[in-house]
Amino acid sequence: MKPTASRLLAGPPRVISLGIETFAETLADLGVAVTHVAWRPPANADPALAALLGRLEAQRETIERANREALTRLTEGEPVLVDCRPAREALDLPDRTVLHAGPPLDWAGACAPMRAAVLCAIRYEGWAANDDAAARLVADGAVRLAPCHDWGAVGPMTGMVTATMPVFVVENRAYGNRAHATINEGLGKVLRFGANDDSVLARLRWLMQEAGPLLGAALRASGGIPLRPLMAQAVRMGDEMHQRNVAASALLARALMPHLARAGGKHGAVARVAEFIGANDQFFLNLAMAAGKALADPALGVSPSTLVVTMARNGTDFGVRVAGLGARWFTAPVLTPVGLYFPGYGPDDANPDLGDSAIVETIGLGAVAMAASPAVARFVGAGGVAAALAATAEMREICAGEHPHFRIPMLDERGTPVGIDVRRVIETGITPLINTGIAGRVAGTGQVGAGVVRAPLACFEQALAALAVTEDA
Amino acid sequence: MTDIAAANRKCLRRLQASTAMLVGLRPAREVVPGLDAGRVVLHAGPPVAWERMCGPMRGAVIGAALFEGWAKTPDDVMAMAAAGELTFDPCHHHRAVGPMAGIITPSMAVYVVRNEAFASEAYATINMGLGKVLRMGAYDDSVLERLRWMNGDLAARLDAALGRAGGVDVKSLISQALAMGDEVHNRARAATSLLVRQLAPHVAATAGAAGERALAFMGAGDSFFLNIGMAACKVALDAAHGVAGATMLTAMARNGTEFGIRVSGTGDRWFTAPAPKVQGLYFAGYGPDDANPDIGDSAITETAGLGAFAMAAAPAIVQFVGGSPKLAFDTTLEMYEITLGEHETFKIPALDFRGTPVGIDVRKVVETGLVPVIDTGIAHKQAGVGQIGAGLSAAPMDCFIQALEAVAAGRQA
Repeated sequence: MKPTASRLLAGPPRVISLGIETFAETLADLGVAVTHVAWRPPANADPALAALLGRLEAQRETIERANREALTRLTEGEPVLVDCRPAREALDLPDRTVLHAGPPLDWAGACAPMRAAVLCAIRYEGWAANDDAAARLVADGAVRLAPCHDWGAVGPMTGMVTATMPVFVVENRAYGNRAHATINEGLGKVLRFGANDDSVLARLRWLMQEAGPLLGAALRASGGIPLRPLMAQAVRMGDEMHQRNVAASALLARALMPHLARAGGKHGAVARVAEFIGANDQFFLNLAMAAGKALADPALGVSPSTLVVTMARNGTDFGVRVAGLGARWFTAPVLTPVGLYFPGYGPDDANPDLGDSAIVETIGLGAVAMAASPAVARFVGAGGVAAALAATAEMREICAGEHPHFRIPMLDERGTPVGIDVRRVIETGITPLINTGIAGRVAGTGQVGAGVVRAPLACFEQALAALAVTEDA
Repeated sequence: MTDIAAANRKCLRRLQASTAMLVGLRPAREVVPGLDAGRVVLHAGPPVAWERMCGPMRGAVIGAALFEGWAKTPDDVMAMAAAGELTFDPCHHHRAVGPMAGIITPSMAVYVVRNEAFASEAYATINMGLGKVLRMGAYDDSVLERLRWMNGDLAARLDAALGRAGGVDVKSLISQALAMGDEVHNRARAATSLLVRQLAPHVAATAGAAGERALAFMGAGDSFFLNIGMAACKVALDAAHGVAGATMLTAMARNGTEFGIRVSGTGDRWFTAPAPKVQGLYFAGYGPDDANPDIGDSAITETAGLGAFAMAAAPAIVQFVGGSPKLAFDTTLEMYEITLGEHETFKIPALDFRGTPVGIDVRKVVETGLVPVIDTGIAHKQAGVGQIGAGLSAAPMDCFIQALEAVAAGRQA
């Protein structure tokens, strides 16, 4: 056999290039066949993070076992919509408490739409006559703020829940837990986007007095509407259930309407509720979120799992909770979505991201399921079919598995990516992608567009550190 | 001499410009031409005499005659039919379409779908749902009871609801359903759900708690919308029919014995060939030996750019009709080869919102050797058994060769 060096010179080179693309490009320009492998050092070459990953590597088998358990809980729950009743009854929510989206909120640092919504919710409950009086109650601690997530609830955008608001009750029949969300108010001027005028209050009162009780009666009579099969069906019909809920809303309406007709004494009331549901393509969003929380909660506390079970934003901070780390939040400043704006608005009008709705990305829907919903990719300005496929493919890099029930026909029935793994986020530097609505930054404006936003990497860095510490303990 | 390309452009333009508003639900004798007197029975597909009718169609005729009260027993109906006391005619000759056996008799309620761009109308009955249903040739007491309720109480409530709603824009609803995984022939789940959601407030307002059965019935199956979609396709294709020199198809229909097509430029003449077998998946306990040849007017959906032509919009359908999602994409892509254009309203998200292939050209079919693919249900060959599967069928090439010859002969004349 000839010496290696001369063998190399005997024929044309066969080149594999790793990492920086410049080398491959130069060779390609010279007409040399080259295979490029996109490779980056783990954790963006940050030695501290790499060391943390290394420490967790020692526990790989224990972690993988816990992750399998957490993933089973995330995907095999059976959320059933069973009721709609006031938060006071469903959550034991006391008076003078306002639940909000995201991690705990520092009132002084709250964004304008969040402040406007909190003050409006206080006026709606009659705890104060105007915003100034309401603001004093909050500042004095006479009205308490708490995250929805701490009360078994989730709320889109500002996520307001107070005692008299009706909430849907979703029961996870596989694990025995419950989760709750308010009735989606529809489009335009709505409390969840920080609108606060009389039309907002009038709608909230109608939801409390007429829609909530009727929906509750219909749902109790129905014996419960199983949501997982409905959601699996909607994925097959082009919904990702964050920014597109048209199929899920229509399927739910179809399942609910006969019960509503039977429950309603007064024709007018049934017709008004049916009209309200039928007019809102996002009606199902709050139910997808409640189902998401019902699915995710049983995974919280599975130690030492590294899977994310909560992602939520309060307009100031983005918060993450991890299965193996219990109820602790890991927060970082929230980013502002990039997307398409309604006529008359632009990026300068956008508030940083808010809402508990990223729970749907946590359970394998929303942006991670973008490939199921090319129409949503257009709506959020993420491009066409190719971009939708790429988004889902990218999310597979950071997820522990594929959803056994949420399957995408166009991908030959492959499941959506599910179970965001903190370790993989750090290792790859790929952060979770979220489809979201964009709230106007000025209080009272409402929605100004829709887009996509990334979870901030810093949340995952903190979570990784906490996981490594727990492992050492 | 007529310029074929210009005639086809006119034909396609009329199809694209057509609207489809569902405005009401009326007894057939009041609105369908030719049904106001006599024992008239409309059926699917090209003309077929009682003697040559397949089992499911005969069963449906029996059920319809019993429902009308023309006879007391199935034997009496068969004797009447054999004695020529029933007048048979294709739905297509009466601005109507019917799935499977497609039977329409004067007392049945029909949807009125209006094409406001051309001031025309088309009609279809209410879809009966799954299981024992008239369109599959079932005619027992449960079928007759349902026929009476559907054409009485339900039809009156839906007509009132449609009146209160000011009609439903069916064309727009179909375009939404395409973005939700329907191809609106064998899969109308999204369209049905959207329709229920849209009509429910009006049913509730006009019927109150009595609307419960209506709402439950509408939402129970996924094919409630199918008949409405078919009428919408018919009303658009009728507007494109009769353009001199055009080689575009305006109907494909099956009567369970024969497959027939009509071409815009050759008038009301049918070009027929024996109805093909359907290739597909069978429900448990059934197989190809049980299958009736292809039947029904529902291929009007393919003629209008839906059904198998829009299969790429509905990759989930392959679980129902067999094959892989790739088959769904390939089918749509292949149909672009034999069509004149792309639909301006019916678009497919997975193809980056490309319009569905629409306007089947007889010349292109013969030239390429590619025949239209149809996404269809499979009926049992015996009357009354019902649907036993679903699959794809291929339009027989012989129809297209005859049509091409007729077009050529017309040009020489």
